[in-house]
Amino acid sequence: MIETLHQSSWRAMGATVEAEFVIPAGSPLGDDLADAAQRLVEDLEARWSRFRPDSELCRLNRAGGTPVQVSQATLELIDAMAAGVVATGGAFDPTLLAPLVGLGYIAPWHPEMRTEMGAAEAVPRGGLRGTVIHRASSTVTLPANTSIDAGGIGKGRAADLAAELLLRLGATTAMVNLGGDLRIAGQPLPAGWPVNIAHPMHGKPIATLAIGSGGVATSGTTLRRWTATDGSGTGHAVHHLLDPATGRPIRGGRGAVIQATAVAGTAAWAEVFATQAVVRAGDCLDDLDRQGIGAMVVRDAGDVEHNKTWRAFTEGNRA
Amino acid sequence: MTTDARDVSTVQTPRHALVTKSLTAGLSTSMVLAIVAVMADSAQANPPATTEPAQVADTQPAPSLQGLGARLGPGEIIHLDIPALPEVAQPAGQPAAARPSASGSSTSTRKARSTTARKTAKRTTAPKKAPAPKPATSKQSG
Repeated sequence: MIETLHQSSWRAMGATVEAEFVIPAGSPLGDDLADAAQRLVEDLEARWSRFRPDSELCRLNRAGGTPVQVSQATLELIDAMAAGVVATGGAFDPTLLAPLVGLGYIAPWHPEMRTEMGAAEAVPRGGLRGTVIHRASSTVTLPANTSIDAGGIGKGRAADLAAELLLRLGATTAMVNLGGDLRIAGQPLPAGWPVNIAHPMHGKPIATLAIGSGGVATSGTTLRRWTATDGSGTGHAVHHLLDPATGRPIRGGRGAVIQATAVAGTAAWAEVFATQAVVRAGDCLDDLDRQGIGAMVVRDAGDVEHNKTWRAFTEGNRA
Repeated sequence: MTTDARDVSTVQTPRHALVTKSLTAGLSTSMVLAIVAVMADSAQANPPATTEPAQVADTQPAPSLQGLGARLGPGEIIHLDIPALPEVAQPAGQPAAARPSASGSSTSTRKARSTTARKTAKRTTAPKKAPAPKPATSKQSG
Protein backbone atom coordinates (compact mmCIF):
# COMPACT_ATOMS: atom_id res chain seq x y z
CA MET A 1 0.00 0.00 0.00
CA ILE A 2 1.38 3.37 -1.03
CA GLU A 3 1.02 6.02 1.60
CA THR A 4 0.59 9.76 1.53
CA LEU A 5 1.62 12.31 4.10
CA HIS A 6 -1.19 14.83 4.25
CA GLN A 7 -0.29 18.24 5.67
CA SER A 8 -2.66 21.02 6.69
CA SER A 9 -2.33 24.18 8.73
CA TRP A 10 -4.67 26.87 9.96
CA ARG A 11 -5.07 29.39 12.77
CA ALA A 12 -6.93 28.64 16.00
CA MET A 13 -6.57 29.34 19.71
CA GLY A 14 -4.30 32.25 18.93
CA ALA A 15 -1.75 29.98 17.31
CA THR A 16 -0.92 28.10 14.15
CA VAL A 17 -2.24 24.56 14.06
CA GLU A 18 -0.41 21.94 12.02
CA ALA A 19 -2.06 18.60 11.32
CA GLU A 20 -0.05 16.00 9.46
CA PHE A 21 -1.15 12.42 8.99
CA VAL A 22 -0.44 9.31 6.97
CA ILE A 23 -3.21 7.86 4.81
CA PRO A 24 -3.27 5.52 1.82
CA ALA A 25 -2.19 7.24 -1.36
CA GLY A 26 -5.12 8.21 -3.51
CA SER A 27 -7.46 8.20 -0.56
CA PRO A 28 -10.13 10.84 -0.97
CA LEU A 29 -10.30 11.21 2.78
CA GLY A 30 -7.37 13.55 3.33
CA ASP A 31 -9.32 16.77 3.09
CA ASP A 32 -12.21 15.32 5.06
CA LEU A 33 -9.91 14.30 7.90
CA ALA A 34 -8.23 17.69 7.96
CA ASP A 35 -11.61 19.38 7.93
CA ALA A 36 -12.80 17.24 10.83
CA ALA A 37 -9.70 18.04 12.86
CA GLN A 38 -10.08 21.75 12.16
CA ARG A 39 -13.73 21.79 13.15
CA LEU A 40 -12.92 19.95 16.35
CA VAL A 41 -10.21 22.43 17.35
CA GLU A 42 -12.44 25.38 16.52
CA ASP A 43 -15.24 23.86 18.54
CA LEU A 44 -12.97 23.36 21.54
CA GLU A 45 -11.76 26.94 21.23
CA ALA A 46 -15.35 28.14 21.34
CA ARG A 47 -15.88 26.14 24.54
CA TRP A 48 -12.62 26.95 26.30
CA SER A 49 -11.66 30.48 25.33
CA ARG A 50 -11.61 32.97 28.18
CA PHE A 51 -11.96 35.74 25.62
CA ARG A 52 -15.39 34.58 24.46
CA PRO A 53 -18.08 35.48 26.99
CA ASP A 54 -20.35 32.70 25.75
CA SER A 55 -17.75 29.95 26.17
CA GLU A 56 -18.36 27.17 28.68
CA LEU A 57 -15.25 28.26 30.54
CA CYS A 58 -16.52 31.82 30.93
CA ARG A 59 -19.92 30.57 32.08
CA LEU A 60 -18.16 28.40 34.63
CA ASN A 61 -16.02 31.27 35.86
CA ARG A 62 -19.08 33.49 36.26
CA ALA A 63 -21.10 30.90 38.11
CA GLY A 64 -19.82 31.83 41.55
CA GLY A 65 -20.08 28.54 43.36
CA THR A 66 -23.10 27.09 41.59
CA PRO A 67 -23.05 23.98 39.39
CA VAL A 68 -22.70 24.49 35.66
CA GLN A 69 -23.52 21.84 33.13
CA VAL A 70 -20.70 21.45 30.67
CA SER A 71 -19.88 19.27 27.69
CA GLN A 72 -17.98 16.04 28.04
CA ALA A 73 -14.97 17.71 26.45
CA THR A 74 -14.94 20.42 29.09
CA LEU A 75 -15.56 17.97 31.90
CA GLU A 76 -12.54 16.00 30.77
CA LEU A 77 -10.48 19.18 30.54
CA ILE A 78 -11.29 20.00 34.17
CA ASP A 79 -10.45 16.40 35.04
CA ALA A 80 -7.09 16.79 33.37
CA MET A 81 -6.48 20.05 35.22
CA ALA A 82 -7.25 18.39 38.55
CA ALA A 83 -4.92 15.54 37.77
CA GLY A 84 -2.20 18.00 36.83
CA VAL A 85 -2.58 19.89 40.09
CA VAL A 86 -2.27 16.69 42.11
CA ALA A 87 0.57 15.20 40.08
CA THR A 88 2.69 18.35 40.39
CA GLY A 89 1.90 19.10 44.01
CA GLY A 90 0.27 22.36 42.95
CA ALA A 91 3.07 23.65 40.72
CA PHE A 92 0.63 23.42 37.86
CA ASP A 93 -2.32 25.60 38.80
CA PRO A 94 -5.10 26.52 36.36
CA THR A 95 -6.78 28.86 38.87
CA LEU A 96 -4.41 31.78 38.39
CA LEU A 97 -6.68 33.63 36.00
CA ALA A 98 -7.55 36.37 38.48
CA PRO A 99 -3.92 37.35 39.08
CA LEU A 100 -3.33 37.19 35.34
CA VAL A 101 -6.24 39.54 34.74
CA GLY A 102 -4.82 41.70 37.50
CA LEU A 103 -1.78 42.17 35.28
CA GLY A 104 -4.07 43.44 32.56
CA TYR A 105 -4.00 40.30 30.43
CA ILE A 106 -7.62 40.67 29.34
CA ALA A 107 -7.30 40.28 25.59
CA PRO A 108 -5.42 37.89 23.32
CA TRP A 109 -1.70 38.45 23.63
CA HIS A 110 0.24 40.19 20.89
CA PRO A 111 3.90 41.24 20.78
CA GLU A 112 3.19 44.96 21.29
CA MET A 113 0.77 44.45 24.16
CA ARG A 114 0.74 47.05 26.95
CA THR A 115 -1.68 46.86 29.85
CA GLU A 116 -2.86 48.66 32.94
CA MET A 117 -2.56 46.71 36.17
CA GLY A 118 -5.75 46.22 38.16
CA ALA A 119 -6.28 48.26 41.29
CA ALA A 120 -6.58 45.24 43.56
CA GLU A 121 -3.99 42.55 43.51
CA ALA A 122 -5.70 39.21 43.14
CA VAL A 123 -4.37 36.35 45.20
CA PRO A 124 -4.01 32.70 44.19
CA ARG A 125 -6.99 30.51 45.01
CA GLY A 126 -5.19 27.26 45.70
CA GLY A 127 -5.41 25.02 42.68
CA LEU A 128 -9.00 23.85 42.30
CA ARG A 129 -9.43 23.41 46.04
CA GLY A 130 -13.08 22.74 46.72
CA THR A 131 -14.01 22.12 43.09
CA VAL A 132 -16.74 19.55 42.54
CA ILE A 133 -16.70 17.51 39.37
CA HIS A 134 -19.90 15.50 39.05
CA ARG A 135 -19.62 13.17 36.16
CA ALA A 136 -23.10 11.68 36.26
CA SER A 137 -24.74 15.06 35.74
CA SER A 138 -21.83 16.46 33.72
CA THR A 139 -21.60 19.45 36.00
CA VAL A 140 -18.68 21.32 37.47
CA THR A 141 -18.86 23.63 40.45
CA LEU A 142 -16.01 26.02 41.03
CA PRO A 143 -15.82 27.65 44.46
CA ALA A 144 -16.95 31.24 44.57
CA ASN A 145 -14.25 33.69 43.50
CA THR A 146 -12.34 30.98 41.68
CA SER A 147 -11.79 31.16 37.95
CA ILE A 148 -9.80 28.98 35.63
CA ASP A 149 -7.83 29.48 32.44
CA ALA A 150 -7.53 26.69 29.90
CA GLY A 151 -4.21 28.19 28.79
CA GLY A 152 -1.57 25.76 27.69
CA ILE A 153 -3.32 22.63 28.88
CA GLY A 154 -6.26 23.52 26.67
CA LYS A 155 -3.99 23.63 23.65
CA GLY A 156 -2.40 20.35 24.64
CA ARG A 157 -5.74 18.68 25.20
CA ALA A 158 -6.99 19.95 21.85
CA ALA A 159 -3.91 18.56 20.11
CA ASP A 160 -4.51 15.22 21.82
CA LEU A 161 -8.15 15.05 20.81
CA ALA A 162 -7.46 16.12 17.23
CA ALA A 163 -4.71 13.51 16.78
CA GLU A 164 -6.94 10.80 18.23
CA LEU A 165 -9.78 11.88 15.96
CA LEU A 166 -7.56 11.59 12.89
CA LEU A 167 -6.71 8.02 13.85
CA ARG A 168 -10.32 7.10 14.38
CA LEU A 169 -11.15 8.46 10.94
CA GLY A 170 -8.55 6.37 9.17
CA ALA A 171 -5.09 7.88 9.49
CA THR A 172 -2.41 5.39 10.52
CA THR A 173 -0.12 7.99 12.07
CA ALA A 174 -0.99 11.54 13.05
CA MET A 175 0.77 14.60 14.41
CA VAL A 176 -1.09 17.69 15.57
CA ASN A 177 0.93 20.71 16.67
CA LEU A 178 -1.07 23.45 18.33
CA GLY A 179 1.20 26.42 18.74
CA GLY A 180 4.09 24.33 20.03
CA ASP A 181 2.18 21.76 22.08
CA LEU A 182 2.06 18.66 19.96
CA ARG A 183 0.85 15.09 19.97
CA ILE A 184 2.05 12.19 17.86
CA ALA A 185 -0.22 9.16 17.79
CA GLY A 186 -0.82 5.93 15.95
CA GLN A 187 1.66 3.64 14.27
CA PRO A 188 5.16 4.97 14.98
CA LEU A 189 7.21 5.96 11.97
CA PRO A 190 10.38 3.86 11.59
CA ALA A 191 12.67 6.75 12.51
CA GLY A 192 10.14 8.41 14.74
CA TRP A 193 8.53 11.79 14.21
CA PRO A 194 11.23 14.48 14.38
CA VAL A 195 10.51 17.33 16.77
CA ASN A 196 12.73 20.38 17.11
CA ILE A 197 12.83 22.29 20.37
CA ALA A 198 13.02 26.03 19.78
CA HIS A 199 15.56 28.14 21.65
CA PRO A 200 13.82 30.47 24.13
CA MET A 201 15.48 33.57 22.70
CA HIS A 202 16.19 33.15 18.99
CA GLY A 203 13.91 30.23 18.14
CA LYS A 204 16.50 28.09 16.40
CA PRO A 205 16.51 24.38 17.31
CA ILE A 206 18.45 23.51 20.44
CA ALA A 207 17.52 19.83 20.38
CA THR A 208 15.77 17.40 18.09
CA LEU A 209 13.70 14.53 19.40
CA ALA A 210 12.56 11.38 17.62
CA ILE A 211 9.13 10.53 18.99
CA GLY A 212 7.48 7.17 18.37
CA SER A 213 4.31 8.27 20.08
CA GLY A 214 3.46 10.77 22.76
CA GLY A 215 3.19 14.46 23.50
CA VAL A 216 5.73 17.28 23.64
CA ALA A 217 5.12 20.70 25.18
CA THR A 218 7.26 23.70 25.95
CA SER A 219 6.58 26.36 28.55
CA GLY A 220 8.59 29.45 29.40
CA THR A 221 8.87 33.06 30.36
CA THR A 222 10.52 34.64 27.34
CA LEU A 223 7.80 34.74 24.72
CA ARG A 224 4.50 36.02 26.11
CA ARG A 225 5.85 39.16 27.72
CA TRP A 226 4.44 42.66 27.86
CA THR A 227 4.62 45.89 29.81
CA ALA A 228 2.07 46.44 32.57
CA THR A 229 1.71 49.93 34.01
CA ASP A 230 0.82 50.33 37.66
CA GLY A 231 -1.21 53.10 39.29
CA SER A 232 1.80 55.38 39.58
CA GLY A 233 2.50 55.14 35.89
CA THR A 234 5.51 52.88 36.29
CA GLY A 235 5.85 50.20 33.66
CA HIS A 236 6.75 46.65 34.65
CA ALA A 237 7.98 43.92 32.34
CA VAL A 238 5.77 40.93 33.05
CA HIS A 239 4.96 37.54 31.53
CA HIS A 240 2.11 35.06 31.63
CA LEU A 241 3.64 32.26 33.70
CA LEU A 242 2.69 32.89 37.32
CA ASP A 243 4.00 31.40 40.53
CA PRO A 244 1.11 29.61 42.29
CA ALA A 245 2.59 30.60 45.64
CA THR A 246 2.49 34.34 44.98
CA GLY A 247 0.27 34.93 41.97
CA ARG A 248 3.08 37.01 40.48
CA PRO A 249 5.15 36.27 37.36
CA ILE A 250 7.87 33.75 38.09
CA ARG A 251 10.98 35.65 38.95
CA GLY A 252 13.91 35.64 36.62
CA GLY A 253 17.51 36.20 37.46
CA ARG A 254 20.48 34.02 38.13
CA GLY A 255 19.70 30.33 37.73
CA ALA A 256 16.05 30.81 36.86
CA VAL A 257 14.53 28.46 34.33
CA ILE A 258 13.32 30.46 31.35
CA GLN A 259 12.04 27.51 29.35
CA ALA A 260 11.19 23.87 29.94
CA THR A 261 10.12 21.12 27.58
CA ALA A 262 8.52 17.84 28.65
CA VAL A 263 7.81 14.61 26.78
CA ALA A 264 4.89 12.59 28.11
CA GLY A 265 2.17 10.26 26.89
CA THR A 266 -0.04 13.14 25.81
CA ALA A 267 0.40 16.79 24.99
CA ALA A 268 -1.79 17.78 27.93
CA TRP A 269 0.42 15.94 30.38
CA ALA A 270 3.54 17.29 28.71
CA GLU A 271 2.20 20.82 29.23
CA VAL A 272 1.56 20.11 32.90
CA PHE A 273 5.07 18.83 33.50
CA ALA A 274 6.74 21.54 31.42
CA THR A 275 4.98 24.13 33.57
CA GLN A 276 6.05 22.31 36.71
CA ALA A 277 9.68 22.39 35.59
CA VAL A 278 9.60 26.17 35.13
CA VAL A 279 7.76 26.83 38.40
CA ARG A 280 10.10 24.53 40.32
CA ALA A 281 13.15 26.07 38.64
CA GLY A 282 14.14 22.71 37.25
CA ASP A 283 14.22 21.09 40.67
CA CYS A 284 12.03 18.19 39.60
CA LEU A 285 13.95 16.54 36.79
CA ASP A 286 14.71 13.45 38.85
CA ASP A 287 11.10 13.17 39.97
CA LEU A 288 10.00 13.34 36.37
CA ASP A 289 12.52 10.65 35.51
CA ARG A 290 10.87 8.35 38.01
CA GLN A 291 7.56 8.91 36.26
CA GLY A 292 9.02 8.23 32.83
CA ILE A 293 8.73 11.85 31.77
CA GLY A 294 11.51 13.34 29.67
CA ALA A 295 12.37 16.92 30.51
CA MET A 296 14.83 19.60 29.47
CA VAL A 297 15.23 23.05 30.98
CA VAL A 298 17.07 26.15 29.78
CA ARG A 299 18.34 28.56 32.41
CA ASP A 300 18.71 32.29 32.08
CA ALA A 301 22.38 32.09 31.15
CA GLY A 302 21.59 29.60 28.41
CA ASP A 303 22.63 26.50 30.33
CA VAL A 304 20.71 23.42 29.25
CA GLU A 305 19.90 20.50 31.54
CA HIS A 306 17.89 17.39 30.89
CA ASN A 307 17.05 14.18 32.70
CA LYS A 308 17.88 10.60 31.75
CA THR A 309 14.53 9.89 30.16
CA TRP A 310 15.04 12.81 27.78
CA ARG A 311 18.13 11.18 26.32
CA ALA A 312 16.09 8.23 25.06
CA PHE A 313 14.36 10.65 22.67
CA THR A 314 17.46 12.46 21.45
CA GLU A 315 19.93 9.69 20.71
CA GLY A 316 21.13 10.13 17.16
CA ASN A 317 19.04 13.24 16.71
CA ARG A 318 21.15 15.97 18.20
CA ALA A 319 20.75 19.29 16.46
CA MET B 1 -17.13 11.23 42.84
CA THR B 2 -17.98 9.02 45.70
CA THR B 3 -16.40 7.52 48.74
CA ASP B 4 -18.01 4.19 48.02
CA ALA B 5 -15.42 1.48 48.58
CA ARG B 6 -17.01 -0.47 45.77
CA ASP B 7 -15.69 2.10 43.34
CA VAL B 8 -12.24 1.92 44.79
CA SER B 9 -12.16 -1.80 44.37
CA THR B 10 -12.74 -1.39 40.67
CA VAL B 11 -9.66 0.70 40.20
CA GLN B 12 -7.15 -1.01 42.44
CA THR B 13 -5.13 -2.47 39.63
CA PRO B 14 -1.39 -2.71 40.09
CA ARG B 15 -0.95 0.28 37.82
CA HIS B 16 -3.30 2.39 39.83
CA ALA B 17 -1.74 1.23 43.04
CA LEU B 18 1.59 2.37 41.71
CA VAL B 19 0.19 5.70 40.64
CA THR B 20 -1.48 6.15 43.98
CA LYS B 21 1.75 5.51 45.80
CA SER B 22 3.57 7.90 43.53
CA LEU B 23 1.03 10.65 43.93
CA THR B 24 0.55 10.43 47.63
CA ALA B 25 4.28 10.23 48.20
CA GLY B 26 4.73 13.47 46.34
CA LEU B 27 1.92 15.37 47.93
CA SER B 28 2.50 18.18 50.33
CA THR B 29 0.30 18.53 53.36
CA SER B 30 -1.56 21.36 51.70
CA MET B 31 -2.29 19.23 48.69
CA VAL B 32 -3.65 16.41 50.81
CA LEU B 33 -5.85 18.93 52.54
CA ALA B 34 -6.98 20.20 49.19
CA ILE B 35 -7.91 16.73 48.08
CA VAL B 36 -9.81 16.10 51.26
CA ALA B 37 -11.60 19.38 50.75
CA VAL B 38 -12.56 18.37 47.26
CA MET B 39 -13.81 15.05 48.50
CA ALA B 40 -15.73 16.57 51.35
CA ASP B 41 -17.49 18.93 49.00
CA SER B 42 -18.12 16.17 46.57
CA ALA B 43 -19.59 13.91 49.20
CA GLN B 44 -22.00 16.64 50.20
CA ALA B 45 -23.00 17.49 46.70
CA ASN B 46 -23.11 13.95 45.45
CA PRO B 47 -24.05 11.50 48.16
CA PRO B 48 -23.12 7.89 47.56
CA ALA B 49 -25.40 6.02 45.26
CA THR B 50 -28.31 4.50 47.04
CA THR B 51 -29.48 2.39 44.19
CA GLU B 52 -27.93 -0.26 42.10
CA PRO B 53 -24.51 -0.68 40.54
CA ALA B 54 -25.87 1.04 37.46
CA GLN B 55 -25.12 4.24 39.28
CA VAL B 56 -21.49 3.30 39.11
CA ALA B 57 -21.81 2.69 35.42
CA ASP B 58 -23.26 6.16 35.03
CA THR B 59 -20.15 7.63 36.46
CA GLN B 60 -17.77 5.30 34.71
CA PRO B 61 -15.11 7.45 33.15
CA ALA B 62 -13.94 7.17 29.61
CA PRO B 63 -11.08 4.72 29.09
CA SER B 64 -8.46 7.40 29.22
CA LEU B 65 -9.92 8.91 32.35
CA GLN B 66 -9.78 6.03 34.74
CA GLY B 67 -10.50 6.59 38.36
CA LEU B 68 -7.76 6.73 40.89
CA GLY B 69 -7.96 5.24 44.34
CA ALA B 70 -6.04 6.88 47.11
CA ARG B 71 -5.71 5.82 50.73
CA LEU B 72 -4.93 8.95 52.65
CA GLY B 73 -5.35 7.85 56.24
CA PRO B 74 -5.95 4.86 58.48
CA GLY B 75 -9.09 3.19 57.29
CA GLU B 76 -9.91 6.08 55.02
CA ILE B 77 -10.47 5.21 51.41
CA ILE B 78 -11.05 8.03 49.02
CA HIS B 79 -11.88 7.81 45.38
CA LEU B 80 -10.39 10.60 43.35
CA ASP B 81 -12.22 10.65 40.08
CA ILE B 82 -9.40 12.14 38.10
CA PRO B 83 -7.37 10.89 35.18
CA ALA B 84 -4.66 8.41 35.96
CA LEU B 85 -1.20 9.20 34.77
CA PRO B 86 -1.05 8.31 31.09
CA GLU B 87 1.26 5.97 29.36
CA VAL B 88 4.60 7.58 28.83
CA ALA B 89 5.84 8.63 25.43
CA GLN B 90 7.70 6.13 23.26
CA PRO B 91 10.99 6.98 21.59
CA ALA B 92 11.51 6.03 17.97
CA GLY B 93 12.18 2.38 17.33
CA GLN B 94 10.34 1.11 20.37
CA PRO B 95 7.06 -0.79 20.44
CA ALA B 96 4.04 1.34 19.83
CA ALA B 97 2.14 2.66 22.78
CA ALA B 98 -1.46 1.70 23.10
CA ARG B 99 -3.59 3.16 20.36
CA PRO B 100 -5.38 6.22 21.61
CA SER B 101 -8.71 5.38 23.08
CA ALA B 102 -11.98 6.44 21.63
CA SER B 103 -12.57 8.63 24.63
CA GLY B 104 -13.52 12.22 24.48
CA SER B 105 -16.32 14.00 22.80
CA SER B 106 -14.68 14.92 19.59
CA THR B 107 -17.49 13.66 17.45
CA SER B 108 -20.24 14.82 19.72
CA THR B 109 -18.79 18.27 20.03
CA ARG B 110 -18.65 18.90 16.32
CA LYS B 111 -20.86 21.61 14.97
CA ALA B 112 -21.46 22.61 11.42
CA ARG B 113 -19.74 25.89 10.84
CA SER B 114 -17.48 27.34 8.28
CA THR B 115 -13.81 26.90 8.93
CA THR B 116 -11.05 29.40 8.58
CA ALA B 117 -8.62 29.34 5.70
CA ARG B 118 -6.42 26.30 5.65
CA LYS B 119 -3.34 25.38 3.68
CA THR B 120 -3.05 21.84 2.45
CA ALA B 121 -0.29 19.86 0.82
CA LYS B 122 0.13 16.20 -0.05
CA ARG B 123 3.38 14.40 -0.68
CA THR B 124 3.58 10.86 -1.95
CA THR B 125 6.60 8.77 -2.78
CA ALA B 126 6.85 5.31 -4.24
CA PRO B 127 6.94 2.55 -3.54
CA LYS B 128 5.23 2.13 -0.18
CA LYS B 129 5.89 4.38 2.73
CA ALA B 130 4.94 7.99 3.14
CA PRO B 131 7.88 10.40 2.99
CA ALA B 132 9.47 11.27 6.29
CA PRO B 133 7.89 14.36 7.75
CA LYS B 134 9.80 17.53 8.27
CA PRO B 135 10.45 18.23 11.94
CA ALA B 136 7.63 19.70 13.93
CA THR B 137 8.65 22.43 16.35
CA SER B 138 7.80 22.63 20.02
CA LYS B 139 8.00 26.17 21.37
CA GLN B 140 6.49 28.23 24.15
CA SER B 141 2.80 28.07 23.47
CA GLY B 142 1.37 30.28 26.20
